[in-house]
Amino acid sequence: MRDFGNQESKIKEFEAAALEHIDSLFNFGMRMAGNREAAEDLVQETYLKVHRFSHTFKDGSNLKAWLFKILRNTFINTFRKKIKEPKSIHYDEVEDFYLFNKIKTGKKEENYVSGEISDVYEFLEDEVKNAVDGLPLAFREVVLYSDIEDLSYGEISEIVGCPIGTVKSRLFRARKLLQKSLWNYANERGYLKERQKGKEI
Amino acid sequence: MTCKEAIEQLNEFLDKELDDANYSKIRQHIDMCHKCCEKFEFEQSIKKVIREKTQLHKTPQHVLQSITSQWAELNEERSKAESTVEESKGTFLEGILGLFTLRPAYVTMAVLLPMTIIGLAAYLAFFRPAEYSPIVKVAAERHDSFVNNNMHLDLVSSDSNEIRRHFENSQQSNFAINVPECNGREMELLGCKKYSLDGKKSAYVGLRGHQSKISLEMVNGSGMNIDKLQHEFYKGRSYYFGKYKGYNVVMWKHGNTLYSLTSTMNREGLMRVASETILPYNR
Repeated sequence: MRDFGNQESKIKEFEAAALEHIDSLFNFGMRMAGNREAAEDLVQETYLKVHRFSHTFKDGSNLKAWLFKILRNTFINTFRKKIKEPKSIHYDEVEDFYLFNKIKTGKKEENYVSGEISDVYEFLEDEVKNAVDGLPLAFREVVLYSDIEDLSYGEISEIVGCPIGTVKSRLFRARKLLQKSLWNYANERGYLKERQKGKEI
Repeated sequence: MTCKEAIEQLNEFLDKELDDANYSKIRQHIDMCHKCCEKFEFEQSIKKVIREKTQLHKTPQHVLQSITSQWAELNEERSKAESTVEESKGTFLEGILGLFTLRPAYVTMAVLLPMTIIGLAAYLAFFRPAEYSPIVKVAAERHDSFVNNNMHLDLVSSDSNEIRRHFENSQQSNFAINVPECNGREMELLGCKKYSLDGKKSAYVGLRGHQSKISLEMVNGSGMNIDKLQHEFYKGRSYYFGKYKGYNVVMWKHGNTLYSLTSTMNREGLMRVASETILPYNR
């Protein structure tokens, strides 16, 4: 005879543990799906599956990674979007320390445009969000896992089903693209400000 | 270590992917080399900025609520299915079922499918609730007259003690102790009236909620039959509900008392009011 009381408390425990990560999942949904409604639906659908597949979760393994794996599959299924690496971008155009060079050492250059940014903390929320949202899906997700969720390369490789080497190269390229895009936003802001000044004069 | 070697492992360093030995080698280098230190700190700050400026969304409360209530329903179904298995298996079947328990997915399917069909058939044949029950109708009509100010209250007061005394005087003291303490809880007492529901004495309390008026009625419910109404679980409690004239009526039993809450609010809103504002005072 099985001990139902014990089993019930185990289920409660599992449910509580799974719900602890809901904000992380919702955030990820916002960045991947692009709007609030879609993110809400995505999270709800995910947690329904979490309940349905709870018996496949192995005690002691990484719950957060498991949840993200389900969320990712749900995202792919509902949005019918393949998460694959785009071929058309020339990543290597972006040099190492792109943003560092622009912000910290670029001031000495003559064609320095942005009068706005002298430190990364000055980027606006929308600029950072837009820069992240502008990344191709395969790059966006690894940045979210690593920079925001603090997951290890091993955990990320488990979620996306790729070798660690692939995760690393995607992540590093993603960061370069992100830096370039952030710089473009800074420039835009600087340029707008310059133009406004011009008008005022 | 050279700067080049350190920078090659910059990402791994920031992502905490290095083993202790490599980590401390780079740490040492950064502490000594001003140029590298500046770069490492800069890249670290980008990571931080990305996290801080995008991680701002909290899951909306209604999403959380609908997940937990969905789960509660599923658990209910699951435990019902399981207890049926336990009951139905005779000793001679144990060996065969023993084989199935190795494959929980199959056994769940094998049990759930006929269960659902039989359950659905039984539900349709015997338990399909009437459009509304007489109690629902009375509660909704009473609320309608309260909303349209056609009701003459015995006592107009927002003082719960006064209302309590009102019922005490008329020997309905068992309700009196249950009058909720509403002041300052986004819920205002408007008044009360001695009434009757389904031939029994009842205590009626008019409330003003967040956006709309709410009627609360309490009656000794041991003889009341609400079991044929639809019901659902909310925060571990069973609620019965019905709808009439556009008003939602939610009922629940606590001890011997039957509570009925009526308003234009949706069902979930009413159950929330019941569990947050009214139930805690029943203890």
